[in-house]
Parts: sequence; C-alpha cells; structure tokens
Amino acid sequence: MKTEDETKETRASEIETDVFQPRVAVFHCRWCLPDEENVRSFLPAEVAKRASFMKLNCTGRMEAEFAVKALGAGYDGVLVLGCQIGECHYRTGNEQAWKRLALLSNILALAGVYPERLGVHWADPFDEGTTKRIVNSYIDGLLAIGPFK
Amino acid sequence: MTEEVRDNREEQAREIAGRLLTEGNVDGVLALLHVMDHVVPHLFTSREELAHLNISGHYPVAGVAERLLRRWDNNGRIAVIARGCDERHLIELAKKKSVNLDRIKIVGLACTVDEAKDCHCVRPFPTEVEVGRSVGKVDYLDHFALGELIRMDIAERRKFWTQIFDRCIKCYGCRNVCPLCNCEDCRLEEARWVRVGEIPPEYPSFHLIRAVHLADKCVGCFACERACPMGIPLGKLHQLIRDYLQSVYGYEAGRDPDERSPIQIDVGIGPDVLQGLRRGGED
Amino acid sequence: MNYKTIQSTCPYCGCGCGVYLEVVDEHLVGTMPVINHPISHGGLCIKGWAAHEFVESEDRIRRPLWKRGANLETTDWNSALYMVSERLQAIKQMYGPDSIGFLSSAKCTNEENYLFMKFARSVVGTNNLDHCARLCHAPTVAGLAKAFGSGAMTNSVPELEKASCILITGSNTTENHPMIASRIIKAREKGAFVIVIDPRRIHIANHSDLFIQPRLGTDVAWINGMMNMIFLEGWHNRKFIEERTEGFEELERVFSKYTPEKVREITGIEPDLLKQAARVYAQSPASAIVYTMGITEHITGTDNVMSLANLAMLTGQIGKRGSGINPLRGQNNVQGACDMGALPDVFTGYQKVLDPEAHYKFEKAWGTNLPTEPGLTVVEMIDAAAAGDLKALYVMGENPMLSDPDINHVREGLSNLELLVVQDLFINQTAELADVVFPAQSFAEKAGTVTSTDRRIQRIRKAIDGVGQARTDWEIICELAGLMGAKGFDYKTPIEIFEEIRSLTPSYAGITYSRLDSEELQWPCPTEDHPGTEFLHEGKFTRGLGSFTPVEWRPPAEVPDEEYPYFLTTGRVHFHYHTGTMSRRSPTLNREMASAVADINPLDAEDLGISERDMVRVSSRRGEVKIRARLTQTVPKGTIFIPFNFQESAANALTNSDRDAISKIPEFKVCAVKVEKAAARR
Repeated sequence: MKTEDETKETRASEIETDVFQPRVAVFHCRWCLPDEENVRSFLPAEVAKRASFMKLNCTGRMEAEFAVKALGAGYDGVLVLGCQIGECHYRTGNEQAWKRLALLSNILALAGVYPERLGVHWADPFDEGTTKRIVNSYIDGLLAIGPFK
Repeated sequence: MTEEVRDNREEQAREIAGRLLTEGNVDGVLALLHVMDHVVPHLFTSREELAHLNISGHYPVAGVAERLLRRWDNNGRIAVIARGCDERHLIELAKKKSVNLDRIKIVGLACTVDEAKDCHCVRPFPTEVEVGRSVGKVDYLDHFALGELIRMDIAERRKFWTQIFDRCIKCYGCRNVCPLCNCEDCRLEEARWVRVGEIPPEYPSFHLIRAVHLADKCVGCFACERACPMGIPLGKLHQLIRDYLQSVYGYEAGRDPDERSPIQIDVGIGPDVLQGLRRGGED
Repeated sequence: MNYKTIQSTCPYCGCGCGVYLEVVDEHLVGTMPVINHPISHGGLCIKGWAAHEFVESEDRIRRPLWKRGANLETTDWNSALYMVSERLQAIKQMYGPDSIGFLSSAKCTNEENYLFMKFARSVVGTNNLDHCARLCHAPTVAGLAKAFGSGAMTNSVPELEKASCILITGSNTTENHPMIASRIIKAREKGAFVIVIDPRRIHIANHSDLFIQPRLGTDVAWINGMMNMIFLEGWHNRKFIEERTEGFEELERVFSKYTPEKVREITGIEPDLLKQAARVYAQSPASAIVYTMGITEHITGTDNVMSLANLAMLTGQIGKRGSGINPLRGQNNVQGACDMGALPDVFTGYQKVLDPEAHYKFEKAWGTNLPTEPGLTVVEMIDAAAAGDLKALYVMGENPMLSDPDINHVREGLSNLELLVVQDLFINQTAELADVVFPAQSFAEKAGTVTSTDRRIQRIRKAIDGVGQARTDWEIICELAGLMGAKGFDYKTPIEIFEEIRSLTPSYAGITYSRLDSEELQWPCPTEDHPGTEFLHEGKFTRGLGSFTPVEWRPPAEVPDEEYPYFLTTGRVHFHYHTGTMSRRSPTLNREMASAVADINPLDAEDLGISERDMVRVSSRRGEVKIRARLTQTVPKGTIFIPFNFQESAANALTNSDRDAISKIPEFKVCAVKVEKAAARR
C-alpha cells in the first residue's frame, strides 16, 4: 500500500527548502517491539524528539479511529509497527489490522489525506537495520508531502 | 413507472398489512402514514388506520423498528414494510445484535426506477419482494456524478473536503438519521475523540471517524446526505468506500445476516492508548 | 404498544423548522426532521434534533408553588389561582391598574400571547405589557415601520436561495439560525455573492466571498459610507428613489459627509473593500440584507436599522423576490408575540393603542373599557419596580433575571415588588424570586400556532399529556380571568381563540387552522382565498412611499478607557438557547457545552498572561463574572465575547442598560470591561 518511492520522486524538489519536521504518532506491538527506546532509535533524532509512542498489546488492537484522531490532534503521520505476518502472538492480529488499515488508507485518500501519512510495517526483531530502513523511508515520505494541518 | 403501479403497490401493502394484523402474528405494522401533506413512520395497530398507509417518501424505518423493539424489550413482534435499503439496514442491525430478526416480519417493497434514481440506489429491491415488482440492479454511474470525486487528485480532494466539511454545524443529523449509527456510546459525542462545543468540528476527526466506523455497515441509503442541512455529500463519500469493499473483497453490507464483514472494527476502546495520544498532541 | 409521530414546529429559534415528535407509549422519545418542510427541508440543527429532551425533564415544575417564608412550597391550583386573583385585585384597587405589569412570552403560542394581552388590557386595565422582543428586535419594529410601514422580515427563508447577493451583518447565522445559514450556503453554491460584515470573524465568514471586520458600534458610519460610494459612482436606483420614496435630499446631505477616509477612521474598514461590497450589493439583480442583534442591540439600534433601510431603498433592493431586508427573529414565536400585540403600544397586527378607531374596535369586541396611553417597556417596568411605582409583575415564560441587562438592578427591582407571579416550565432565576409559580405546559403538550421569522404561521400539536399538574398557559389565563369576574374568557380550544384573533387582525384574517394543515401561509393574508404573502412591499410600501431617515453616527454609550480597557460584546452560542432553561436540561446540548467560555484574542491573552481554559475575572462598572477563557481569532484584539446563556457566568451582570431612545433596547453589544486572570491553572 505504500508508494513512498514514487512520492519521493515527484516531490523531491520540495524537500530541499523544507525545514519541516514531521510529528509522528507511533503505535507499536509489545511482542516484537517491547522497548520504546528501541523503537525511538529507529527514527531520525529530530523526529523521535517530537514523536509520541503508544504500546499496543498487538497491532490487532489498532483501530482506524486511533489514526484519524491522531491526525485530528495535530500529528502529521501515523506509523504502525507490528510483527511479521505469521509471527503474530495472537496468530492473526496483524493481518486483521492490515485489512482495517488498508481500508483506512483508502478512505484517507478519498477524503484528501495523503495515504502515505499512514505507515503500516512489520518489524523484524532480529534485523534492526531493515526495520530502521523501512521506518526512515516512511519518514522520507512524510517529509515529501509536508505538514498535515 | 407510472402512478398506476404506485397505487397498486399501496393497495398491495395495505392488504398484506391488514392480513398480518388480522392473523395476529404481529403486534403492529411499521410503515409510512400519510397525514396532511406529509408522510411519517407509524406503527399501524388496527385495520382502520390502514387507509392512510403510504409507500411514497423515503424515511429509513429500520431505526424506528430497532428502537421500538429495544424499548419493548423481550416481547412484541412487528412487521416492517421494508424497501431494499430498509431490509439491508435490518440485516446489518441483526449482525450488530441490535435487533432479533425473529421478532420482525419483513414485507419486501420494491422501488421503481425513478425512486432508485432519486436515491442513487444500486439495489432498489429487498431479497424477497411482496409489494411491487423488482426492477433489478441499477447502474448508478449512469445517473450519479461520482466521477468528479474520483478524478480529483489528493490535493484537490483535500481542498474540496476541507471546504465542505468546514460547513458542518455538528447537528448530528447524519448520525441521528442513520439506522446503523445506533451505538450506545458514540465516539462523536466524546470530547476525547472530537472536541466539544465548537463548530465546525475539527477536521478530519468528526467525519472520518464516522466514515471509518460505518465503512463496512453502510448500505447506501443516502439518508445522511438528505438530512445534512449544509449539503455535505456524505452519501457519495460512502458510496466510494462501498465500492472499495466491493472491488477488494466482493463485500456488500446488508446482503445476508450470516455474511461476515471482512473488516472487524468493533473492538472495545482502551483509554490507555488514547491518553498517550492526547499528551503527545497537545504540547 | 403504541408508536406515533406528531408533526409540530421546533420550539427553539425563529427559523420555524418542522419537527416530528416521536411518541412511544405516551412518552416523547425522539425528534425527527420533516422531510419536505419549506424551511428545514428534512434537516435540523442540534437543538432541533434534541427538541424533545427537556420536555419530560425531572426538573419540570409539576405542582403550583407559593412562597412560604423564604421558600417556595407546593400548593394546589385553586389556592394559588385564588391568591393571585385576590392580590391582583387588591393591588389594582389600591395603586391603580398601572401599578401592575405583564411580561408575555415569545415562547408561547399566538393564542396564549393574545389572551395574555387581552387579560392585561381588559381585565387588569393596563398597557404595561411587553416581552423580550424589546431586547432583540424592538429597533427593527420601530425602524422598519418608520421606513416601510411594517417591521417584519420582508422576504421569506426559501427565497434567500433566489438572491444573487446576500449581505449578512450582525448575524452569526450558522450558530443562531442554522437552517437559514443552510439556505445562504445553498444560494452561494448557486452563484450568489455573500458579503459578511461583522466585528467578529464568525463561521459564515469562512463561507463568504467578502468579509469585512468593522469596529464595534460603527454600523451607521459604514452604511452611510457605502451609500456615499454608491451615489458617487451612480450605482443607485434613480427610478426607485423617485417613484417609491421620499426624503432623499435630506439623506444625501448626511451621507455625503461620510467620505471613505472618514469611514476608515471611524470603522477601520479599508475603502476598497467597502467599495467592492457597495458595488456588488447595488448592482446585483436581487440583493438581500440579513441581520440580527449585532445591528439592533445598540443605543443606536433604531438608527442602524433605518440606515439599512436607507441603503436598500437607495439601490431599490427591496420589494422583489429574493431582495429585501431580513431581520432574523430569535425565538420560535417572537414574531407572533409582536403580531399579537404583546407590546405596550399596539394591539394585534400593530394596530396602535393611540389610534381611536383601533381602541374602539377592541373595546367593542371585548366589551370593556381599555386604557388609552401606551404602557411601560420591559426595562422601564424594572426601573419602575425598583422605584416602587410598579407593585406587581406577572411573568409568563420569560426569565428577565438572566436575559435583561444589568441583572443586579433587575434583582433589586423584582425584590421590591409586592407580588411577582411566574408561569413557567422550570424554576428559573426569576421564578426563584416569585411569590407564586404556576406550572405551565411545553410546546409538546399543547396545541396552537406560532409565527416564525418570515411571517409564517405554523401549528404546534399536542403530542403527550401535560407533565404533573401543569396546565397550558391559555387555560391558566382563562381561569384567572374567570376568578377575577371577567367575561369572554370561556374558550374551550385554541381554535376558538384563533378565530377571535383573526376577526380582529386584518393581516391574519384569512388564516384558519384547517388551511394551516395543508398550506404554507405567511401574513399578510387578509382573506380566506388569499394565498399569503411571500415577500413584502412589492410595487408599494405598506405606508405608501418609503421614507428615508438620515442618520448621523454616534459612538456607543460606553467605550473602553484606562480602567476598563476592553470592549465586551455579548451574544448566543450554537449549542444553547437564550437563558438555557430548556437547552441546559437537554443532555445532548449540555454534553456539547456545559459551561460558558469567554472568547479572547490570543494577542490580548498574551498581554494578560492568560492561557487556554484559564479562569478569568471579567468586570465592568456594574458587576463581575468568573469564566473560562477560550483563545480564538474569532474576536479581534481588544474585544471579549461572552455568551449570555449561562447563569453562573452571566454576561448580563456586566452589560450596560443604557438604551436606544426610540425603541428602548439596551446596548447589549457594547460595554467596557477589564479582564484579569482569576486563579492558577490546575
């Protein structure tokens, strides 16, 4: 569902002059990412400073409304980090979240909110480099589309 | 369709309602009543009243049925003269466990093509038609300008919807009129979800929380759009969402009480999560 | 098992929206919009949707009450009625009929207002009769009557969609007349040019084509300035002025002094913005002016209204479909209460007390002698009570203890009375001071007619039986009149009362209950085959020629100084209604807004060290209130806004009771205050 790379290309020119630092609401699963400091370390330092972290028992607990509320409350992006598909502690929580958030992504696009503001990614606790890369690519997408309000 | 067919439907409906009342299977028939130049939902309990039973006008009666049955708790059974949308509402309410379909006798009423066009309805008929004749599925794209909304790019849509949503006077008409917006605790009323006491309500929380909440329940009756005093095209937004669910999952709300939504949304709410969000958003 | 829906008319503002009251087993359970209603078109605002909620409230007065010692105690109807009739007669005998005053109600039906008026004039024999229209549109009635001969909204609500330019001034339309704002937004969708001229950046300003923000209390100046521009550019309607008006030369002499520079100096409006407004307003095929309290609640209220009338006549923007002057009335039946003569100087249909013919007509119809001199207005009655000249006051469905200016003075007046009778649904701040309280019935428990802002007469219908022992206002008046030995109060139904009204009121003569069931009727409707009048003054003004009245600008009575450096302006909020007796008992509305907030510009807040939600103390020369602050750009720097709906932060403890010389309206919209932070934020 992500098109970060495309977005980056089309709006790369805007990034140059933009001093904007996105404010991100991070929802992370307590099974694959139990440590908030660890999650924080995935984000660029400037972004991490302004981000809020919400630990979920499972991404299956993630309601679409949480993301909508975050946007309404002044966040520029919502990042959901959960276990790899197949690794969910509750078997299918992350899959359910995925369906729900894919729908949300579609609704956001229909209502004029860049769906790139919503990032849903699966973290690999044994490969922090990859996780960090995914997160940074999400942040780049946010930088490209600018502040929400 | 001509006036003749409409008259005929009215008579058919009266006849069936009369039979149901006489046979005593139901305590009342919920349908529309003609008073003066208006049409209102009414529970018919005697044959004498049936002369004023009316089938024109589109007031969503499923919500009334749900509220009545809830109020009369465990006893009572009613018949509902139900258009396609009314039946789909009842089916969705049954999925939500808000009504027990055993307590409702659905008398299916088919809409005319004109009525369908009026409501931008794709499926203007109930599963079983007892009154009128089904005109089959209608292709809404012929008469319904969704194209404009689809063609816009994200930035244009943002401009369109922020301007349109900015008109909102928070009357809650969209929610009040919707039979499926019957949750006891409504998030649109809670200060932690949507700031209270100001208009317009904050963007995008009010409208998108409702959109998300109804995404897989909306049956496309357009009552919300009709009830909106500020002309916000809520029905069209929901139609587009319905199209998404149809195209990705082949899912349509209100078809069958045993069909499960591909999206499960109703999870109990955790204040813990929200608290973190609020702290973060304020400073 | 019983479920029915009863069609009625919303009891809140003056829009006159259609509601269905849902009744299950004889209880009100919901409100729904009337789908094909001419005003509300299947929609309602949040107040309309909640219209049923206060009706069966626990707080309703269920039995008559009278004062025993310091407390109100329950009694029975006979004792209460007997006591009031005895006391009224004794006071009348001892001090004369003009020692008694009557406050009628813009929330009661036409029938009840008529009967209350008849009671005051024919049974007690006084013209001391008024109601809260004095505090909202008295300048409209006075100003428009002078200019055109009729003081009502000239167009109808649905017509606004046919206007090509709508000028909104001093009306927070979306918050206070939501269903009319809905029409304006639809008109704009169809291409109408919307101009908003208001000291506050109100919601509808976001949906306008041109927004102009003048300083408080400078309306006459910008209207004169606009007329000057129109005249100099030749955008005025010479033919209309010649054929349909008089007094233009005088007017020109005055407005020509208002050069763009002078207007900017007074109002702060940039000349090119005002010129754009002037051009579009003058040149559009059909321009409508929409205004409310922002125009009227000034010591220059009547001047402001006459200035708008001047502007409309100068450009010929009146007497056409979609074009005219539209004062939006605030209460469901404030138009009707005025029409019914619940005013000190007129009988029904604005027939003057001083007109010997009208006087004779009513004496003959009622078979009594009637007082000849106009009586006291609301604020004058309070003054007279404080001075000891007014001994008794009978209040039907009003709450002067919250709605009137300078409420400390109101309390002093009311406490000084020998007899205060209050007839209401709830124990409000006024009823607390009463000697006798009669429990009345709400809109959902009785039948009758109400007249909404666009002169539209609509029915309300009984949906449920009265709560407790409450009786309808008209039944109470009839009983009391009977006890006092009066004849002609033996009505059995509201229809009988209405028949009497229309026999005495030419503008209502053609209206019947049965016509109202199937027709939309707006007065004037002189005969039963007359279709009613969609817009007024077509071809000819009610008074013949329209009259220009030149007006010079005068500053407000109280402006900020060193001690009280801020402007205070007051008004209403979207989620509540007037003094809150109904709306604050509605869970839906109370949930949205449980207490008052004062709007303060962030720049002022910074100067004062005030943050969002801080408690602040706002004080004027007359009183002080504690209230939470809301920082918002809606108000300009230097101006505070406080709604008057909330008793615990009553804006009217601060307001100035200085009043307009002609209409006697107090200057609710402007006074000077100081603001301090009250306590540390918890």
